[in-house]
Amino acid sequence: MHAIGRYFDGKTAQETRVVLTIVEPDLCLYDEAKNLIGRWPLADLRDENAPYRPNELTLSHSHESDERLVVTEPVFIESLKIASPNLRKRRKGAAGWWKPVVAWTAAVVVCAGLFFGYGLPVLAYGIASLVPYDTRSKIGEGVENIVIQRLAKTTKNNETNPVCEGAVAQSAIEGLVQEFVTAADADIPPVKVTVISSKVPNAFALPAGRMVITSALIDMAEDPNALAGVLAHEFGHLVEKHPMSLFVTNVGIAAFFSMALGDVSGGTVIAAVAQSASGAAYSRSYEDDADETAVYLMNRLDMDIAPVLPLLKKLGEKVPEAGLFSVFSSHPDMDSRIQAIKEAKTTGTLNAFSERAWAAIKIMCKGSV
Amino acid sequence: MQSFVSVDISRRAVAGRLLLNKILGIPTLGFYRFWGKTHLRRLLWQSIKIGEDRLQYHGTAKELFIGFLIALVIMTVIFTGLGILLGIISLAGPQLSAVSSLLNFVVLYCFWQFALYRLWRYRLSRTSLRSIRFYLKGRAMAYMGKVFIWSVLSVVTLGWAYPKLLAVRATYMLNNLAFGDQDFHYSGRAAGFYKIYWPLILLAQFFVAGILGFLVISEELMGAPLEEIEQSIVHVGFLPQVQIAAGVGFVALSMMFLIARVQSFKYQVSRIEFAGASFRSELRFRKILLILVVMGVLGLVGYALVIGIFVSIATLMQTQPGVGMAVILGLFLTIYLVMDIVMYLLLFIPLMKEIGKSLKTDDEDVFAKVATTSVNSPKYGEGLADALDVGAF
Repeated sequence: MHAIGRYFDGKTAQETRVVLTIVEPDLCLYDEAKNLIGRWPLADLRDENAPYRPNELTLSHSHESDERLVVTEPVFIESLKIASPNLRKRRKGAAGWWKPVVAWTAAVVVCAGLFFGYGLPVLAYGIASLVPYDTRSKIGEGVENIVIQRLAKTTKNNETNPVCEGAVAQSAIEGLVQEFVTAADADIPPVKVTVISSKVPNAFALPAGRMVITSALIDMAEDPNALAGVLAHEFGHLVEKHPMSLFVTNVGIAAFFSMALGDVSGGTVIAAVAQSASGAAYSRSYEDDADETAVYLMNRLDMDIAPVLPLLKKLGEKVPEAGLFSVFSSHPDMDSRIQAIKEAKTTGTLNAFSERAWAAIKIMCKGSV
Repeated sequence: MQSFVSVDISRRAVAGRLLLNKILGIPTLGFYRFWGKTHLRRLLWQSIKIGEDRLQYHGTAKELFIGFLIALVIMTVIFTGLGILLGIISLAGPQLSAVSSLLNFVVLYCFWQFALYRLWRYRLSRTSLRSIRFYLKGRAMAYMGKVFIWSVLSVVTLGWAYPKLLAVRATYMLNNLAFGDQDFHYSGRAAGFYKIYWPLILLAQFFVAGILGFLVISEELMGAPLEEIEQSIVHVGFLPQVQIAAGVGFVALSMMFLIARVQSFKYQVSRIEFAGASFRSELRFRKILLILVVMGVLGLVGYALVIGIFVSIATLMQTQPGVGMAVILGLFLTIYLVMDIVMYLLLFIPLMKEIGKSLKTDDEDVFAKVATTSVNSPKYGEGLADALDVGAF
């Protein structure tokens, strides 16, 4: 069977009219003078058309060659489909095609390891230092307001201001924080401590020297030094600029995963999950650092940190271990934290607050809710 | 002059491919995109017919993937280095933070331009017509440098250098474009772009001056008591005027920008010469506007629909939170799957067809007269562009 095809040789754009004949196992191409100009193995033929066109074949015979042959005669197309079984199949890659893929994947893994292990923490601290105080202050204030509003909703007291007030208590807490500043010899802006009424025991540090403590945590603390230990821990976060570093780290992680997974194909959600897991890992290391700072400060001020242990145990019971999802948990395993603080033994003999101040702290939220 | 480009595309095939790309992107954590893009490009390239021949796309997913891996390594190193440099600057003096922010922006902008040139170089080298490939010579670094300088000048001169920026970009790109052993020649000048863009620049400056003026007046009122502000707004009644002026200004600016884009495209095409053949575009502003209006109206309807569903879900969430969540999830999934399909079918493909139809030449056989060349094509894909999400299709 014969047919006429349009042949392009890959060397010039000129079209050559060719006569095609199937001579098993090849497709033979003859020019107008009936000279054989090509034998294309039928098994190597591929239809390059996308999408598939029933009345037209654009044939190639290897990935390396740009030669093309266009066939439009329906009967011949049917014969070719029968004679050439691989027409719509994908070509196999050349031998060793996987080597550069493996090599560059390894390079990416090494780079990502170095980036997450060493580059990002240095970057985060550097950039966190770079952010002007005013900007940090705005971020801190903004987050604090959101937290306060949310807590006001959860306590179902939209009318009541959840911020606890009490001159004696407030001055005692801020006085202790000032002692931390002196003990740490830290060059940081004034620290603002806000106590809010909430059923959830929590304490956290925010950018630009802000600390938030909840009433439930104060209720849970049976000893003044337990609260002092918590304050020292949060102060450790502030000194090391952890809130801002974590903020920058999360942006860095998000950028990396968004780059790696692509924004155009559903990677965004997965990037967010990956970011959450990696961010939590950094966060855990920050918690360890803050515990270390707390032990150091309590030692310097001759205050015993041991009373914080029962508080941590209670918190541990309140927040069950994450188990399978521990990778997303931002706090280190409570047992290991307790063990680390236990190892510090007795760090002092003094009480962090006077009896009067402690009593004032204990009741400072009672009128708020 | 005769038409020589037509777009013959199977909308069904494109929609099916986009849907499949999205679906397979989920279980593969997005890594299917290299394969998905390759399949999509084959469809799009082959839909463009020059004479009776279709363009062919020769790129492979493996090339894109390796290019992406290389880019990831380079970018991780560069951005870590840049971050450390910023850190050092910050430690040297917090007052230098503005400098480092600017540095960060400059590096990203330059990277973007570099990636864009490499992207087109890769795509053209993987495009053939009648078995002969296209090429983009030149250096991405040189292109980046030129574009950066003229972008800075455009900002400094409040837009007056923008036509020159367009001219520099077009000159570098088009004079480095080749098909086989023949080069394209571009003879456009900045003056041509100035003729098109001067009213737009002038209007844009009035518009910006108006916004700045309004901000200054608002700033003065900022300190005043609330009642005084309200009184002055009601009494003078200037706020609605400003709003109307801003609205009219924005629409006028958008229209003029669109007209300028169409005109500058036609100007560029008219200044291209290839192997003795000259070209012309008869692109009609009205046709482009119609496509954009249809897309815009549909976008607004879609937006209103989504907002409407969200509002009705709010009550559903209180009574049946499980069903509400399922509806939200379904809505997001639908938007994720359908968005690209709508964009391609109602925007990109109609634009491709209009542009293709508008192109004319005085020698429709010119592309049959070239031979292949020995110019080396880039080995791997457009990794930087992919990582930076430049021209994502």
